Amino acid sequence: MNPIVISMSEFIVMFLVIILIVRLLKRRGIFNDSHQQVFDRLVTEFALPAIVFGLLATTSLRAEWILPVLIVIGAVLAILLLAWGICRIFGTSPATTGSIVILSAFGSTYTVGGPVLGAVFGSQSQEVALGQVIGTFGFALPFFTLGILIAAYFGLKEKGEHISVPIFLKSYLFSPIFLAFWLGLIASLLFSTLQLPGAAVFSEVFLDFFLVIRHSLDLLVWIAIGLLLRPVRLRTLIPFLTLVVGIHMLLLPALVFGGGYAAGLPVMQQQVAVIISAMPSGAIAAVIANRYGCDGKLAAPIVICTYLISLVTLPIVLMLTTGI
Amino acid sequence: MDHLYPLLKSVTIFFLLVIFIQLLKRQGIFNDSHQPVFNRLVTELALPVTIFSTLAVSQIHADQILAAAVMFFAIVACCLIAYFACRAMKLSWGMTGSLVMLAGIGSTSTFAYPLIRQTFGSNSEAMALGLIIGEFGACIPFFTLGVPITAWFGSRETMKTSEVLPVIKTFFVSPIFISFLLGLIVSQVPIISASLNSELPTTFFGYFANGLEILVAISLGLMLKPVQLRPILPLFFLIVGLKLFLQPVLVLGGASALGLSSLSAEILVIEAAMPSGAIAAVVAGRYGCDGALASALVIATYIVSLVTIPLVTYLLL
Repeated sequence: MNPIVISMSEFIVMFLVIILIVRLLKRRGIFNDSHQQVFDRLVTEFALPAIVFGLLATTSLRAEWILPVLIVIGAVLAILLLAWGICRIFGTSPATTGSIVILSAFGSTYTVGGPVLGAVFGSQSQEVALGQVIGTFGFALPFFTLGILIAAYFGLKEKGEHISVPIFLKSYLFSPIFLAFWLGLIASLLFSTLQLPGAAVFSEVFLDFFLVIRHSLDLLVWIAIGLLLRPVRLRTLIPFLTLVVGIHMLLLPALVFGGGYAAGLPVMQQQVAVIISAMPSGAIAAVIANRYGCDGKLAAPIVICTYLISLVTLPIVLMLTTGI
Repeated sequence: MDHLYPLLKSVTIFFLLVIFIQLLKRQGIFNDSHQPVFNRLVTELALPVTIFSTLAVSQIHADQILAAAVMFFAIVACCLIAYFACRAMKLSWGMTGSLVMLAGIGSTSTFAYPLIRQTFGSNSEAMALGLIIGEFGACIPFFTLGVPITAWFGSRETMKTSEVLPVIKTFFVSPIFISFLLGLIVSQVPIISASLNSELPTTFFGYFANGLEILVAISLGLMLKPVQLRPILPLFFLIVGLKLFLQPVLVLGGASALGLSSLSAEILVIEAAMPSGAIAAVVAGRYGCDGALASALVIATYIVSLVTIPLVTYLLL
């Protein structure tokens, strides 16, 4: 069997077990629906920024890797527009549009993409390093900026509220984790520039602080997804699922492959970019959708279904595009 | 000093996380009603999974039990000193019961285990040792001996008898104890133990172990509140002196006297230096002792431990 499929199926089993445990705990009364918001906010305002900051602080972008990153960003933007256009044609509600748009563009690059590359190519390989760069600059950064704005826009539109971009940006940019990161980074630079004693210790504590938060993300995200799950009518789910699978899991990797082919990317870069792009829809994206008022109850089952469907689509995409 | 660096770093990061959660609470992201959820997530999910996965792949040695005995006798000594101090101060039976428990029982499961895991790694010998010392040396004695003793003090205060068996039973069917027992059993079956040491289970259990620190930090961050120390200042100094300073000294003395390894001594000191256990305050309140005093003192020892844990480990190790 394809090593990527083996690795993917292991992750799927693990995540499903965590969701099952969360559902059991909910039945035991440990969780209730009111806790959903807490986990959403924990993920979006605590763990997610820590991931992005931690990745930015530890990922170095080589000149030769800029092109695959730009190709991925271009493909993501095209997918965002396409998903939005299709939702407009079908006249879906703003909340549903927000969920579908971000699930179509952003995949599980951090939770699954990196580990799958590690399992296939080895954790110290060039492929994993490039995968982290593409994941960080190609997906995480656009998601953290544009993705959140999109989710917030559609969420507010659903509620019929006035959208004040400056107020939204202010609350977003002055959240505690943002401030912690910038203050820490400034202090870290001051320590090292002025060569103050303890600079190395400060920088290590600063990075490890974010690392500890980063490590907790998977559990928090899957708890949030487990709490989000509700019975959904198949008649509602299947059309949207088909749309997301078609756009995110087939078209996005095809666009990345096409872009890479046209730009003459080396085979290794092409392979990694396609693998990362072909990941199932992002579990974090579903949590973000719910946090900002989009349709989280639709997003959660779509994410889980794309995980299962990726066992079929991933080998097909890879065979057609990279020959793995 | 160099060998202490990982521990001091872990303590610093842990307290930074707790402070951060306090900030988020002030921002309205959390409120007091969320604390029980995170408490239960720690005690019924993340901690049991971490305990099981650590013990199941560990090798249990006789000297680990010896280290647990050292912890047990240090706790007993602190409890006895607290008792005599309370009698000398002519405190009520209810206050005496609370203080006796707080002087001996620390936050082993909720604070020491995550700290040891963060410092030494979840599948380390240190973590297995920490679990054996914590469970055999502190948790099991507390739930079998500590609870009836607290109930005895409570009944003298309220002149009523209390049912202690349900609490003891609750502990022995709790996810923490069951996972501890299962972990010990599995560790004695080499085939299962080896299979749990492979990549897939390690990754799976890693999700819970990695989440543990954050969940504990959230729990503690939500628990901490300003306390009025002035009315209880002498009692606060008594508990700080006994729990945060004397107990680490006693376990270090015991470890040296018995010739235990330096790792055992280090883990004993870390566990002994923990602030008073929240569970001791809960049990004190439940059995008619002074629950309000106990809660205030637990929070106070947590705040003070921000300074005393690095200080004690620096001075003693």
